[in-house]
Amino acid sequence: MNYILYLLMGVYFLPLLGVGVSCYISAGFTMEKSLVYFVNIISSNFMQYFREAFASLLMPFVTAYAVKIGSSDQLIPKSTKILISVLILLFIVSSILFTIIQLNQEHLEKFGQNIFKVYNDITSNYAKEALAYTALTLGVSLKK
Amino acid sequence: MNNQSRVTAWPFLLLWGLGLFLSVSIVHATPIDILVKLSDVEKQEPRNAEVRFEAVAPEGAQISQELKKQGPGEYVLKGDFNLKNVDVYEIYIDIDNPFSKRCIKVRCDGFKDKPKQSHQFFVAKETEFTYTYLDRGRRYLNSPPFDRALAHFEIAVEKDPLMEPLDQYKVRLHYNYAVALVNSIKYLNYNNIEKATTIYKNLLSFYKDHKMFFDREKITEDLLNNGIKDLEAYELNIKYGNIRSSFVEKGYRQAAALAMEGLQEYEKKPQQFLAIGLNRKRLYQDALDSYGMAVKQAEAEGASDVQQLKASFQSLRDRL
Repeated sequence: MNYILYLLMGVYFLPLLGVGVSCYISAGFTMEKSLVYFVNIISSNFMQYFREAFASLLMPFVTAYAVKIGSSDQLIPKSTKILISVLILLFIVSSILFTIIQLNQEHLEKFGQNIFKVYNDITSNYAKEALAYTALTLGVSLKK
Repeated sequence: MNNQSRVTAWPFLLLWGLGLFLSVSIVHATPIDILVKLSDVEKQEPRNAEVRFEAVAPEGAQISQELKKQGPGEYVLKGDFNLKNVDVYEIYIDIDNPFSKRCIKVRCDGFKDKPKQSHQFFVAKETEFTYTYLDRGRRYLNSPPFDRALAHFEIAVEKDPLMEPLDQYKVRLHYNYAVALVNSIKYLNYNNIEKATTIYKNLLSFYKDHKMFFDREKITEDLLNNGIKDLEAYELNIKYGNIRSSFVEKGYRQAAALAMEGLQEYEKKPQQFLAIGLNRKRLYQDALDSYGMAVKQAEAEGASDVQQLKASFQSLRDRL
């Protein structure tokens, strides 16, 4: 179960990983590297055609790990804690990448092909979604 | 009787008129003829604009003349101006958006060699300035028309001056712009030596702190230094090439002064002089020959500086 969840999450968050790696190898988008173009092409297709389908696949898994928080001292299962930690980490990574992209807008625009917009959308959307999944895992949506 | 005198006076009057016309033309003005063809960088299609010629005459008067449209994207200037000693003129291209206005400085060396000059200028359009844009420009760099690459990079340079924060894009842009400027100096006679030298020097100033961008572009420190040296040699060649042309045109005093200046400069940078085939002995000989002829010329004219010229000639001969 865990294996399937993290495999799906890995694929789902792959564009974010691509943005992170291309940011690193292009020294903050100051150097022209083909990976920046490659991630852009892959991610724009992914964002356009598959992302929603992946999100709907992820949803039942995340819901399965969700907990209803009755009181503040309630024991939260270890697997849920790990999932929440991973989601929060992804939120932090997305936020940092979002900031880097904003700061390096001038450099990113030199790559053309609307790359700044695609990268900006990836990081901001994944940050929002990581938070939404965190909330879901904590059982906010199941609250009665 | 009256009719007879009128008949005999006619040929004299005609000759007098012709003589007057010729003397006015020769003494006061140089007929110049400039043809400009204007196209856009991308499609190389003719473009219309306002094209203006500007030059500063030797006595300091500003000459500004609008070129006449001759056809689509074709402009001509036919005029008699006193431009004998003008070395550089400027062509202003005033064009509507999205194209970029240009000012091109052309060396003409007093219109001595080519009183008729024709140019093909290009105008570039505002667009998205990206790595792909620069790569397109690189394809225009090494084949004529050389002004195409220059216009292509010029508009991008205006948007992204060479300053921090630096990236690979700026290094590629400014290096290629410098190459386009050098081509324009060599093949189109543009007066861009100072501009190109400044860019090479600016790139050098960023080299150590941003070596990774230069490495990615395969631009070495030596390449930049050699670029500066080539430009300096080219400038020396233009400047001291005038010794010969002044001598041929009987401007002996000017030739002598240039040769003397060359001798002083030679002591500071002998390698650059040797690179263009000028050595100390040759400069001495040029100065000596020029002073010798200047003395003869001054004596024939009864000029006041004969003694001074003789003294210079004697001192040079002693040194040789």
